[in-house]
Amino acid sequence: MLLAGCDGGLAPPPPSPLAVIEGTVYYNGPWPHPDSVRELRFVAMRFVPQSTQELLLRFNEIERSDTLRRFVDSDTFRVVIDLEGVAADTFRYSGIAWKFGPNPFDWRPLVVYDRPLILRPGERRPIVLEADFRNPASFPGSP
Amino acid sequence: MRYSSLLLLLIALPLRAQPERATLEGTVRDVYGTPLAGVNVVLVGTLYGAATDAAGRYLIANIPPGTYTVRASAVGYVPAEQTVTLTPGAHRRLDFALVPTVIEAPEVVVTAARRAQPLEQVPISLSVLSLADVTARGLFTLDDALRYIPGVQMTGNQVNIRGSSGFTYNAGSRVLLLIDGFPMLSPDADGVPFELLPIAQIDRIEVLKGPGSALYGSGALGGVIQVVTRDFPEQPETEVRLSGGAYEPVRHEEWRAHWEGARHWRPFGTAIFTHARRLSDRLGGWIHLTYLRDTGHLNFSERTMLQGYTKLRWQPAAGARVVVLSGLTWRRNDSFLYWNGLRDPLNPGSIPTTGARDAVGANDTQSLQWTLLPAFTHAPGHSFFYTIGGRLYVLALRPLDEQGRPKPLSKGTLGFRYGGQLQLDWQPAEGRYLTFGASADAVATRSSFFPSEDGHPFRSQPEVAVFGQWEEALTARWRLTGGLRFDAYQIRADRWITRLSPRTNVLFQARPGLTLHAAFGLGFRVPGVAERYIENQEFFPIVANPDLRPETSTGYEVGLRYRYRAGLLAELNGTLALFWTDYRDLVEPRFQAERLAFQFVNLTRARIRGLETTLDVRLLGGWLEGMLGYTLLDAKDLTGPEPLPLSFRSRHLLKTSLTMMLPSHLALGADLRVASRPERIDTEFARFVPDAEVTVPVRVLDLRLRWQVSSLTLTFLVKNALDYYYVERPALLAPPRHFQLQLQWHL
Repeated sequence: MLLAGCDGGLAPPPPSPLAVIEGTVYYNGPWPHPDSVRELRFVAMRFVPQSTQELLLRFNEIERSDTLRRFVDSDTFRVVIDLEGVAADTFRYSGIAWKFGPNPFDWRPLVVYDRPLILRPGERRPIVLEADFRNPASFPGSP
Repeated sequence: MRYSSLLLLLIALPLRAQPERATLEGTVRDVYGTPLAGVNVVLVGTLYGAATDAAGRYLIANIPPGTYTVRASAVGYVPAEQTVTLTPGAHRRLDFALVPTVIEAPEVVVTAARRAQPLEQVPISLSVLSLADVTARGLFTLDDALRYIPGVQMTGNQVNIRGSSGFTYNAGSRVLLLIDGFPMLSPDADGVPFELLPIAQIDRIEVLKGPGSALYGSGALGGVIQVVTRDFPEQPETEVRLSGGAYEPVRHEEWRAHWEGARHWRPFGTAIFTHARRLSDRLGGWIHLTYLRDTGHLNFSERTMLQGYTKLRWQPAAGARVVVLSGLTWRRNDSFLYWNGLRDPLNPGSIPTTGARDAVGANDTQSLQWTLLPAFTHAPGHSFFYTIGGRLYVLALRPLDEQGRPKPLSKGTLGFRYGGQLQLDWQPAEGRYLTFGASADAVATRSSFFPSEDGHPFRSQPEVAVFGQWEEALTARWRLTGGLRFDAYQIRADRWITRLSPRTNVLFQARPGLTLHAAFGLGFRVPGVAERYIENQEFFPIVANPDLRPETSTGYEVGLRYRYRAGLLAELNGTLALFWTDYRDLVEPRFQAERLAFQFVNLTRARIRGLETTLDVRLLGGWLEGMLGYTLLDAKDLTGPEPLPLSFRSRHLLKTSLTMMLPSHLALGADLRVASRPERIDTEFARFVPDAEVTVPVRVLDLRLRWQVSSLTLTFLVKNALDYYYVERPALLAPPRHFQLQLQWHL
């Protein structure tokens, strides 16, 4: 009983300093067929992905928004990032991720933010993106 | 005895109490305050006396004045005497409290080693949990019951006997479940179906520790759980058991903020009805009905279950009997798969990369399960009998849509496990016992998780086996057992896997109450249909691996079992075992980067060694009872160049229990289980599930208070009384403190 009474077991981690990425994406041009736009999210990655495979392998190094609305002219997104124990965090690659097929790995970049994002605790970073399905971005490692 | 009581009563019947005569009355109870009926109370050296009624009362009238020695006696109790002086016309009261004698307890008979034999003659480590133990703790499912057995640790819903299983995401079991001797692993994931038991009609749960494949084939790699159901009694019995309780709201505001349900008490309850009776001089049986409703301590962890079981025994002729056990279980439940991190552990998490909009860490299903276990036993002679048995286990599982409606069965799982066996038991001479048999079994499962092959929607895995066992009492002290089993599994149309599993055991009785044993055995497990064929992207990226090889083990054990009695004062039973098991080709899920998914693969070469000791103490005729079980595990993963701790195993495991009888029919008990934090866990899971690597030691204290009077028993339980938050397996918070009240009415 003494052993069991030492502590209360698991508990929420202490409050962490947070940073926020908030933004708006504007869609230009026509939308593809609904079967080709399964899902859209804003993602911020601490690395530069070379392929879809790397997205999964380094899943915990990715911050992501909720699913964005489809077939609209524009939408907003918000990502809250926990910066516990770090003075700043760098996201080398961010933008809108586009799920174009039914398979789990049918993801590709739609539009990429043109510079790394460096965030400090308490910081709020607004960004604006313009996307065009006729001219999507590609993985840096792709031809 | 009844006749003498009646005689005493007749003698004592007064025609009329004369004023110059005295009267003596009183009550006889046991030391716990329970009234004792049928106790003889006599005035020593006279013909005056009486027997107590159902309330323990007695009355002796018309006694001539004088000084008498009054004696109260009953079978099973130490006779008590008091001296009393009766004056003319006196009406005296004299109460007795009888102390139970230490009657030589009936031998605990176990059957996990394929035949009924006294526990003391079983040459391998074995623990037994009785129905009384299960009832006293308000348990309704097998997994909850196993948590109280030394050497057994639950990792989520996987059973670890001495560290055998680890955690393999609920697919496959390295422990075999037997119900009345029939293997009962589920046909979909080869898992242990914990709720598939008539809990109020079990006689005992036996846990055989160590490789048991020589007895039962695949699946018994780490041990065997044998559930033995009760037979019907001579007199009709009816029992109603009502139980209700609630989970306490979690104390962390941050967790409550994410789920409104965590702010309220979350109720659960169970109602059980059983009736058992003899129907004729050749037929009898019982029926068992259960309703269970649990709102769950996590969001999306509700479950509802309806269950009906029956067992019939028919004796068509002398030396022959037919026993049929059958049960139907309907269940609707949410399976909480993994949490949303340590900041939000009460809600299921999600893996957005799977693409499915409902891809959350919970899986809602509705299932119907039917089991049928018929057996025919015939004894043509005094030293020989045989048993022919069959088994059928049907599972129909349907996922639920977002509105809670069942989807078509084609979206779920339909599974069959069926087979039969013949076993011959022959005792050609005193001290020699032979057991032979053959069995054939098959699993056939169609599941949306298993892609069909060549147009055959059902995945099947038939097997046949022959086995034999020879027990020989070499001398009055030495007993030798040898067993051999041959198994053949068809894993593809053109491919069979065969295994030969020997075992040998030696038992030596050093002196009365002390036996030593040594055991050696090989074990194996053929990967189940789920591990080989599962393909899923909805909840977790996982791909099939049809070429999985069987897991194998080689186990050694030496141990002792001792018993000590000191009259009324103390009774002590203890065990000590040293064990060593080498495992090869253990099947573990691993993330395959080239496949972008998890896959079950033969990966681990491991060694688990350690010691286990248990101590059961009964003091002052049962006034105080205690149990202590400690297991030390040295579990190493030998796959790499350097040994690493084997994942999901606790080095130290402690189970303790204490029960104390109190006055006024009360009994107070406590159970404490402690497991050290696993030295290593599988980090693959933590790639996708936040905080999946977070673990703490397990420290759970349960309290119980029982009040029993006549046929009524009321039990109040506090589970996880210290409200300790922990995980038994990654990313799944175990229940917080919860309270339970159980009413048991036995007719």
